[in-house]
Amino acid sequence: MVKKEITPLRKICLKKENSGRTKARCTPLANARGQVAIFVMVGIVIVVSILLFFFLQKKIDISTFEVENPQSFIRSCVTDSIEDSETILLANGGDIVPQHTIPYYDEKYNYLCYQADYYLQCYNTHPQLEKNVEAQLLQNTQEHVENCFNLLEEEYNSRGFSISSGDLDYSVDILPGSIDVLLFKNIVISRGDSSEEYRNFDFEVLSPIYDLIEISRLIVNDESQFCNFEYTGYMLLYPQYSISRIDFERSKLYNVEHRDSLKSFKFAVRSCAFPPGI
Amino acid sequence: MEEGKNKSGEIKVTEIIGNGFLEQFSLWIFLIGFVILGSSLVSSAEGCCSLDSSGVDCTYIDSAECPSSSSFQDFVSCDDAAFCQGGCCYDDSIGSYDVSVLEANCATQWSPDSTCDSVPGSEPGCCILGDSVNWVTEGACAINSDSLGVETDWDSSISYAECQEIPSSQDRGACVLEGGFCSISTQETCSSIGGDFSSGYLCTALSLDTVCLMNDQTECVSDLDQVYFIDSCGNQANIYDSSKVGVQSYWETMISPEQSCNFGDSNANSAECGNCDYFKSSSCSSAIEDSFNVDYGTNYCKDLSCEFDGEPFNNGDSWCRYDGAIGSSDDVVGSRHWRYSCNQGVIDIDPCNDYRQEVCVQKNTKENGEIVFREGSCLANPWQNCFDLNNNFAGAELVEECKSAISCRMQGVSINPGDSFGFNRCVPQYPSGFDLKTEESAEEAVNICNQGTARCVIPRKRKWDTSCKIKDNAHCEDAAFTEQMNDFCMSLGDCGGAVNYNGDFKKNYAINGAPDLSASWIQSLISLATPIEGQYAILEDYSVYLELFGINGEILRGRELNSPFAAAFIIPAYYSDNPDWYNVLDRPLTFDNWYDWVFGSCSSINVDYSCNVWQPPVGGENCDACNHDPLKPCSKYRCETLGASCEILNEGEETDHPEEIICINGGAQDSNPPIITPLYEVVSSTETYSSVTSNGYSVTSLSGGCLEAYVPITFGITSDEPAICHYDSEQSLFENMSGDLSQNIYRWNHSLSINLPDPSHGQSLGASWTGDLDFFILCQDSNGHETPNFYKISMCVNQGPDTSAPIITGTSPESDSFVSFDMDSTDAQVYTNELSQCKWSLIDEPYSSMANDFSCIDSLGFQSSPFGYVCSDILPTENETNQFYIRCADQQWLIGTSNESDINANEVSYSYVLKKPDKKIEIDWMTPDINFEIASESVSVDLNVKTSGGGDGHRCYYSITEDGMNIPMFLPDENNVHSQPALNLFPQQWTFYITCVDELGDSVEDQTSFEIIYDDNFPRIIRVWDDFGEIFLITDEPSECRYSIDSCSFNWENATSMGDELIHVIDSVPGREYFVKCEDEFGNTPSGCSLSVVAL
Repeated sequence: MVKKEITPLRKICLKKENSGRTKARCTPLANARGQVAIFVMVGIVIVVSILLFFFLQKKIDISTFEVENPQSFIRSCVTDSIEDSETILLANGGDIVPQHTIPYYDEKYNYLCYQADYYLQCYNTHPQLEKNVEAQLLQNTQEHVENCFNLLEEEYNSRGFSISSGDLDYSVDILPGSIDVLLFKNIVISRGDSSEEYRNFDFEVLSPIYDLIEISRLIVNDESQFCNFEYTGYMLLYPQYSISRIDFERSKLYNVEHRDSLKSFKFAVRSCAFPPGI
Repeated sequence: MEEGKNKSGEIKVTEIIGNGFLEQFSLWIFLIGFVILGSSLVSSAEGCCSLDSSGVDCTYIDSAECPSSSSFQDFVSCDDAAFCQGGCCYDDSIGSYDVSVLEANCATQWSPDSTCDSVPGSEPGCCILGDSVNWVTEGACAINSDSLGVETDWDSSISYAECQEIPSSQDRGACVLEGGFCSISTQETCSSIGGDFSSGYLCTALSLDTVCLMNDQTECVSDLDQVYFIDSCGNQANIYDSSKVGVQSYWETMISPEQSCNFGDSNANSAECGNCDYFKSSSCSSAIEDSFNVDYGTNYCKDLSCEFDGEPFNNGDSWCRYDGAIGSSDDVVGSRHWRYSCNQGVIDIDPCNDYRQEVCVQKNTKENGEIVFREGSCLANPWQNCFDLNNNFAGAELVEECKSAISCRMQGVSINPGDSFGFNRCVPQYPSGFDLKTEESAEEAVNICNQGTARCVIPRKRKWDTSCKIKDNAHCEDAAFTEQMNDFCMSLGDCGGAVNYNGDFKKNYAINGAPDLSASWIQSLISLATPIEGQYAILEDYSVYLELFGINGEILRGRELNSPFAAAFIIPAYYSDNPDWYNVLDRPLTFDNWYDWVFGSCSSINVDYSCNVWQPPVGGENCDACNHDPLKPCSKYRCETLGASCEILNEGEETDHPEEIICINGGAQDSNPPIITPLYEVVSSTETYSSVTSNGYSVTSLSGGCLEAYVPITFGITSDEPAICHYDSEQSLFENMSGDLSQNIYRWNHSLSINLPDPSHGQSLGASWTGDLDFFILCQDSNGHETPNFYKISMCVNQGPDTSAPIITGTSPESDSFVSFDMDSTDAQVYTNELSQCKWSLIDEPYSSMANDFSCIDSLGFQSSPFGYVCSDILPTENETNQFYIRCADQQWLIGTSNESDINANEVSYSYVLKKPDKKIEIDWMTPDINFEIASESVSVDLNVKTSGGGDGHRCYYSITEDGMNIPMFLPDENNVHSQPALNLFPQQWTFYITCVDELGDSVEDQTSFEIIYDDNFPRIIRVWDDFGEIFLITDEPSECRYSIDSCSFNWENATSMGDELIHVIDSVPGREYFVKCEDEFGNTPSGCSLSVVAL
């Protein structure tokens, strides 16, 4: 027979057993009960602490993102504006607010070449279109770009950083395949003894707008010289573009689409119009 | 006095009185002439405005509408206004060149060359951008290169085709970097990144020991048609071939498409082979997106071809389809020419301009007898030119001009050889359609169709047995007369008995004295509504236009453009400044058949064919026929020719949303017939309406009595909705009534002008008309609803005795007008208000003494001109001023009778003067007429011709070959300078043959020759000498020379000028060396010095 070691608790239990008192303590777990209680109490304390921690902490605002890299932030912020403006310019034939349009269903097509008379070739009313588009893109995004930098500063300020910044030098360049955004602003972010300086925020946005504008120039040039643009033949040579034309009320409504990006440039031409009826 | 009505010459003037008659008549004729020439005359305050209030450039408007801040030039079309000349707006720093730009709209550099061809830097060339190429200007190439970070490499010396070959000819291969990384590039690119280049090798070549491995994945590569394998590094490998997956030998070296699977086939929809060929209608595409099962990878050769009407078409093909027979004036009413194209598997509908303002021409390219490429194009239909030729040429010359003119043909009527009745006219191959819902257009349509109205007079003479014998034109009473006249009528436009594209025949002509068209003839017309397989519009020779507009087989934007299509679109521009393309000189007869009711006699028989505007069937039961063919979307024109009450909904939104354009019966809700009321606006001051009721009225004199004989009167009705109204002397069915108040056009107002004869005159000839006349009128709206009751207009004419001599109502040509300088005689006509015999003399003498008779063949009640009864003769016009005296006498049938004394002859002569111009029309000068140099491959040239003498209406034509087609120049300015601007000419010897005509029929011919010399050479110094402190230089062409004392590479701007002529001078210092450079007007200059010289 194995003799059990008699622990102090066991001694107590035996004594009580012998005295006929309750045996609850003296169950096989009775010896561990106190330890369990301690552990339970410790657990409760931990849980409560955690709960207190979360409740007493400031609420996390999930809408506020962490500004890890100013350049990424500016890029993201400005890209939105560039792309929005690009969309408007593409849909409006190169103008943010087109002045001379023809309505077709619920769209308006901006005239790039117009002749009021019948039979005569049109006048190109939007020469140097890419320069014009650049200027409008710049103008339409200027304020937003400034706001992006303001937001950046506010965010850093709210985190206890101090920011000093210089003047903003902002321009855009429409190039084949992209829009180059040229942003220069001297920003110094510091806290305590450490600081970091940022100057160049240049980046590019992929866009087919340059090529679409070049094709529209070809179309306008041909329409004003020859009263027609052979778009079927052009698509045969340049299959990456889809060109459609709608003849409507003696005007021609062109839609030049870049197949890969599905972005399209819409505009109207009125050249060599035939009079109604005879 | 009211104005003349319209170009048809219907008389609306109702007051012609004796005193002051000539003045009033002259004014009347002037007004008629004003209407006829109306399109070329302008109101006093119209002109060209540089920018109107809505921001539109160069509009022709009233001066009051032109903003004060804009420029305005009165009586000048914008095409001629100085501030409306388009030029080239360019920025050579970025290589952008825009044509046809107004100087005011150009913020960069501007050149008056509207085509930009002569602007330096505008020509495109081959821009090599590493692995790819672009066909752009040098400036644009710099932009493109800069964006890719490569050196600008631009070459204008190679062709477009050669340019396209460059990428495939570049040396490409595996570029291995440290660590076994590898990419495919050119040697140049590989060197720039410090890699080891292996030409022609793939990155998976075992010998290169790279980390890249074979794969079964595929990709589409930009600018390439085929499907390509990609290796594990993402590099492009060889063309996808399912049999080569895992075959190492296929992954060693680059294999060309020619050596790859199934080369020569399109491999469209092939699961095994990715050797697509774009020009065989296949190209790499995503198999996932298209739900295509390919053996390996995710891409395949997508089929880009199309099928149309069971016929296959390749990608890029374009072709024509029609609604019926075409050409030879067979195009049916409402028809249109259609152009379709296959665009990457999708059929695009691109209809030609409606109303047949454009025709579709197809050109097939064949190889080994098989069609490999189809090119259809919509070309302008210059149908107006065909009519214009009739006005300027005649006889054999007309035939020749018509045959050489584009889209014109001769159409004649000749019932029987030997008959005097017949004619030959130049008409369009593809007659124009008409928009009858527009008032102005409808009136033009009436005028055009009226050209087909004719009368064949069958003269008769009494035989010994008192019967009548036909002397001439006997066959005019045959069916052939109606058939040929109807064919001629149809050739003018939507006129006559014709069918629409739905095969519905509508009569739209009136015939009197000959049979109607037979059922079999009508059936043959109906068959024209079925297209003829294989029939295409004729591809004519546009080369004249091509050459003059810079398209002469040259490469245009990199594409060999031997197609003549492009320049044909500019043809209509001629007619914007040539409003007299349509000039109805041979005015058709505007007779009224009601005379037949009244007078029947053994005189000439008149067979009349009236060519009316084509109107569709009444109602709208066929409107829906327009809505069922998605490949032929409905249009306003197509819809309205199906039924008189058919209307188009969503008009204008054609090819993009065809399902939303529908043709409906717009009159479905209308069940009411037209309501007729009197038309008061046309009543003259000598008549009035009396006894007006809802059923009619009487036309009376102001006192309520009968009207005077031989005084033109006008009366009319108005309907409360557009309607066509017929009339007759008896109550009959609408379709059987012989008179048309509406000229077959649905109108609101309907009127008639007539000249009532004296009843006693008819009675003298055996007629029994008492002078009372009733017109029974019925009107029908577009839905076929007829007025239920006849509307009756009554009148009576005062009967003789006739105590008034005839009134000469006019002459042709007018008195005091000019006649041909060359001709010694002139055809003249005299019009009288009543049937008369007229005579003329060179001295003023009584009628009975005049020795020269006019020929007056009209018969009582049948005046052959709206101006009156016609007498004609050939008058001698040899002198500068030719004076004639004319007198007329009425009632010639009384000659030899006991009442001969009742004949009234003019007591006073009508003075008639015909003059000749001081000199015949001549050409004063033409430009260009001297040689000149250019520095580009072509130049825009203005051809100008100055004429003088002759009549007032000069027109000039030019041709570049001696017997070639004469092209009309723009109308002359006030100085009679005719111009043809913007001829795009290239360097060579040119000769322009000029023909100028005037309205008198005289003409003059001349030619101008000049050579355009291509000068791309810099000026050369041909002589130099020193003369005591001055150095003289002579250059071989006028040029600007400058010098420096530093070196040859001096700054031009800072250099000292030596003059800009041929001789140049330097104030020299002995012993000093001078470096001289010379530049000509085109900017040609040597790269170094023209000369360096040391002063003595």
